[in-house]
Amino acid sequence: MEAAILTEGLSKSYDSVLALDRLDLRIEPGEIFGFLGPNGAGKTTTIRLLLDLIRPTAGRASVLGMDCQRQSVAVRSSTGYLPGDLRLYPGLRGREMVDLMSGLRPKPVDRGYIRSLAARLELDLEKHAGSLSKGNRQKLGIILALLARPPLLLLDEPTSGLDPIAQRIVWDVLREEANRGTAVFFSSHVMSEVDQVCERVGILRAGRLVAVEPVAELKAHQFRHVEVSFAGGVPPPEVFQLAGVRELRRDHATLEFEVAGAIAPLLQALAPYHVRDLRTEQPTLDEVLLAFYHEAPA
Amino acid sequence: MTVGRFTRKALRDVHGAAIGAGVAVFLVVLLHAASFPSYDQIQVMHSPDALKGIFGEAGSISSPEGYTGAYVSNITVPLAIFTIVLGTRAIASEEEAGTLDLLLSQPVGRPRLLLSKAVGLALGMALAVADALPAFLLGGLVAEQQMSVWRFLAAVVSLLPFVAIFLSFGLWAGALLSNRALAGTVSAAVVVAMYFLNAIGGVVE
Repeated sequence: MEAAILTEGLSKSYDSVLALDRLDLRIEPGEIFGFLGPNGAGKTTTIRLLLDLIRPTAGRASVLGMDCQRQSVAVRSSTGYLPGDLRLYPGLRGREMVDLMSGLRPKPVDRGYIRSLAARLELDLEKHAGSLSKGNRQKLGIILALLARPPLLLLDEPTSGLDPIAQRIVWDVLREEANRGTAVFFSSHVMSEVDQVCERVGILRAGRLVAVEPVAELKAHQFRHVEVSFAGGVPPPEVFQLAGVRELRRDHATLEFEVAGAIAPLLQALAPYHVRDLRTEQPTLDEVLLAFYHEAPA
Repeated sequence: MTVGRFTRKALRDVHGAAIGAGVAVFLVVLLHAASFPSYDQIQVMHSPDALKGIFGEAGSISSPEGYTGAYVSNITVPLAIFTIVLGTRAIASEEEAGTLDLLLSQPVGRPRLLLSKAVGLALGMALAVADALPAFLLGGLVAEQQMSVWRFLAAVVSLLPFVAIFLSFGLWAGALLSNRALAGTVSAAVVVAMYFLNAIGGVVE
């Protein structure tokens, strides 16, 4: 099966500034892929390269087997795009924006789907784009990206400015599209939404891809916090001198650890003692990412 | 694939400017057509040849044809500058407004987008120029002028290639320089330079 997105050594530099450094990435049809990184990490540059809005300085990229430069019109036919800094024509109504963009599509769009999407998002398409709030403009942008129900969606921070209810609707819509086989390339620096929606994430730092992993694995590799309360006194420190286990805090009845990797050795060490309560917390994706941003070499 | 909607959008974008230009063309032509009798008695313009060269047909403004040709050609420069301003605005303003990315991410080749914009703008300007015809007819009635409508129409139609040339120049300048002010300044400078070259050419002949 052709990859929805395939990049090989894709690089982009502006004079002496390297915006994207040898990006190798493969995203499959039907996958929701989160592309994470702080501002300026190269997320938007990657999307603009895929759409041939800018040209790479090295490497190549293809969408569904089509070269992003030589077959750029065909690539854009297969792509729906939501820019991070969405700008619309303020004098046009939402419906007119839909008509305008539909007219540039090679095949007729499904008007019923557009209407149902607008209804789900509670967006009035008769209002002028210039009179819409930021959240409603974003909803219109999402509708425009989904207009032709293309096999690839490139969404640059899609839920920016949306309220939590609208965010959930958008996530549902994206899951539905993914179930139809649409690949969703989802750039964000909002970790919680990536955690909610994406199967795999790529972490970009200063133009370099520092990790590509399923969200669950990414979290599993990281430290987790463990807090143990004892009925009697706490065991002596030497009991917990285990690989991957670091004691953080100790008082008369409670111990707090940071555990890397498997938790089983700690549980075995605790077994002889009278444990009253044990709480473990997975790291949030924010913590995982902050660890990446601080640890990964630039 | 149709880009007709995009052409209509371009036409809609310039409709205010085109109406304004149309009103200006209408008033200028009406004023000139109605005031022809004031020039009717001028038999010979006693000016140096060089000056006659610069003003083209000015030497024969006592005839309806020469008079009409003179004022129609005088419309060309302001019309050219106005057309260039619209042309430069077409692409540069998309970039300034940030809508260019959304547009270029659609499955249409850039030349085609540019062409559909150009067609919309050209239609707008053609409608503005067409306002000269009713003004001429009305002015002719007032001044009881005998000049043939067809000859006047030919003079007006001769403006259209200029409009097309300056429009395409403005579009390219706007697309390449992506800054409306710079593109407009460069284009206006070119128009003025062309005007003077044309005038000097008349003197040399």
